[in-house]
Amino acid sequence: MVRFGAGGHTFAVEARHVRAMLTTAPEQARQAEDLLGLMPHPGPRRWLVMETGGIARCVEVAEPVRLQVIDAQDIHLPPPLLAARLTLPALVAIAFDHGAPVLVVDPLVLLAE
Amino acid sequence: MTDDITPDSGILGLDQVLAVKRGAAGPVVDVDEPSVKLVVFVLGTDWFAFHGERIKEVLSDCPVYFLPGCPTSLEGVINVRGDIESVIRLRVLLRLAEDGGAASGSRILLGQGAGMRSGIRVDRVEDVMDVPQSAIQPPPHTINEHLRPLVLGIVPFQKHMVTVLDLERIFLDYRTGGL
Repeated sequence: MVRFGAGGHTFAVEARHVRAMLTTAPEQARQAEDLLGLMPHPGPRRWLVMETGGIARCVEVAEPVRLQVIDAQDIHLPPPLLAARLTLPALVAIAFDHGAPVLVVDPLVLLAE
Repeated sequence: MTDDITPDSGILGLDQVLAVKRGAAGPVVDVDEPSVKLVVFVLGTDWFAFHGERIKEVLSDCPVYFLPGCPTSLEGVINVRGDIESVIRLRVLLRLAEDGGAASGSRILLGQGAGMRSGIRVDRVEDVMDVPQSAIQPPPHTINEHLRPLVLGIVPFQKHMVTVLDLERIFLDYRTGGL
């Protein structure tokens, strides 16, 4: 998983969707907070190049950005009532890392036009 | 034994004692009558209950993790020994007045119904009790319209009328957006 921050929360995408991380702003990028419907938090930013459907797109995220292995047993489907009512787009799983939730999102859904 | 047992001493005879006991015994309980277990809890000043078979656990001091995008009726998620469960705010679902935050004695009931499981925030768990099925009366006509489909009946308990809620219906309606 590649972990990143957005709107004061911790998110992750499967590492196979991430081609690179940039430390300077590219010409075109979408803010993760904008895609997720969150308010941006001040702080250092990074840009993840995500490839979805053969198209590479840049997403601006908040630090820290980390490549991390998360045990399968710590990755859970969203509970049914949460899945039905949560308005957060693209959430596919909730992982727990050292007792803190990591929201796993699907970049295919997140970046769908 | 050196107690004074003269008739004027105020000591009751056995017949009198037994008569008093018979009078205080109350109605005879038919032990063969089917009973239901209820988990009685409080939201503000209102008393409610779920059928005991629907409540798997009562959790206290369980950290709830807020997730972005939760409506006010969803408090977040909890980690129950490795299983992730949602936590719904029953007070919001039932449209009861807010009390300014969770009380110190608040609990999370881990409920199960309609193939789903979720935590349910309540202010206080009062009791877990067995009541005869016949003690559960049909809901009164004066009950709020929005509550009517969710209420199985009412039962008197400790000078309160306890509203017995249908957990399966609550879960189903909440999932489909009806609540």
